[in-house]
Amino acid sequence: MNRFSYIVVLCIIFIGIFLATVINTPREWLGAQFEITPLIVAYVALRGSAGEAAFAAAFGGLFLDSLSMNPLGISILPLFLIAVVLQSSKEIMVVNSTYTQFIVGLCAGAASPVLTMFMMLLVDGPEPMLGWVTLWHLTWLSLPCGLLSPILFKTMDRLDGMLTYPSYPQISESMVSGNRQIKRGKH
Amino acid sequence: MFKRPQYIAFALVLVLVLVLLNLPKGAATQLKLAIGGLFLPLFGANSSVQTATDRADKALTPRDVLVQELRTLEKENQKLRIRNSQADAIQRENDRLRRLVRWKEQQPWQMLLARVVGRDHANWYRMIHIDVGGRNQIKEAMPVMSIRGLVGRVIQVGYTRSQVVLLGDPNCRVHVEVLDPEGREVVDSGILGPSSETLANPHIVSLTYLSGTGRLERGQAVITSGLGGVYPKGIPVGKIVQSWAESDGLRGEAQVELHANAATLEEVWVIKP
Repeated sequence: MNRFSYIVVLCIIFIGIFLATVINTPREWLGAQFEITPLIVAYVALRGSAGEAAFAAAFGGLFLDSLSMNPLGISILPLFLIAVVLQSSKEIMVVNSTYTQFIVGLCAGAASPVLTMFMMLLVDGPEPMLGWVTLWHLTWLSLPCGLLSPILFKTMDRLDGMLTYPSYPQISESMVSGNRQIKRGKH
Repeated sequence: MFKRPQYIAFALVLVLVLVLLNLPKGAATQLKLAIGGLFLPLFGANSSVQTATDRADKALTPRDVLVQELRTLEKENQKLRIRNSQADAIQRENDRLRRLVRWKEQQPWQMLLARVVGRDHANWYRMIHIDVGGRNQIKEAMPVMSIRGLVGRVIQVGYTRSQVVLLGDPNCRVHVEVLDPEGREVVDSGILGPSSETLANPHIVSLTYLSGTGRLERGQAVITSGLGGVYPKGIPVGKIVQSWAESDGLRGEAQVELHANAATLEEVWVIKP
């Protein structure tokens, strides 16, 4: 990932969290709010290095918790676990397929709140409200992430392409054919 | 499967999470406020956009509508003034009687208007952000109400913003009293907290630890009792939807519909003691 496009990704995380805080329409209509941080961390995990994914998870987790009643730092590990799983399996995934991107977004959108809730049961903090309706919330949290995932991947890939020089195959010594060399000698 | 950079990243993140989760409460709150403070420019921009939208909306409203609204408000204002003067007379009488029996005089509430600027994005908490904070002398545990009734209490105070936990959240329980159908006498009291329905319907909360001696009727008023010292006595909270006695017959439980609609709150009042 290009450094500039990585900064753009972090800005999207920052603004996405802010918009999830101030825009109340999804909660009014469907009873639950969704946010796209897990999806963006998944994108960074699939396109960037382990360090970039870890930083995006830490950055996103800290900002998520700062505008919530969540204990500070509790969202970092779930986001990072999503990144680790995707990083370790990206070589066997057809990452450029729209269907794969949809599934990745869907799973990231569902896994992040589930893991966060699991962590909240382990640590001492404000008591969360959980019930059968939480399942509906999880569905609602994961579906937009799945639907937005292919759009985000295509937009960010295009942005990355615009900000990076196109890569050409490097010419190595082995690629130069030996029989084209001119041997000079006495005869 | 895992490579060396992944192990290093994992270790670093794990250390960061352990450090953050084990910070002392005060330090964690300060750090949280400091990180949340980075959103201040965005909150400021959002407020400016809202103000500009309101102004544009007002500018586009036809004059006839405004004049009609003004007349309605004038009438309402006159009615409220008359009722206020009546209330003042009752207050004076009340104060005189309190002095006679040597009870502590009631102080009028000091209120500060605040705008709701955001909500908790996590679906497992009911919390709002308001645009007043330490610079407005806001402190933790101050009650917050709307014109309809009690909303919640302040749980975290920054310099320019505060967080308010709403009624129905497990972290906001209030001791309340139930009035008789005429609204004169207290017939029962209990603790207001979340019910199994609150997640689906945020207006419905549960009233537990009722005496269970009498069945409550639908529509009976629920007000704060003043016990605990956080919420002043007499703030309207909601009304009874249904009630039932527990199987042992010792205690009762009821469902309460809140007056304040937290989903559409735009402005609230913080009560300063």
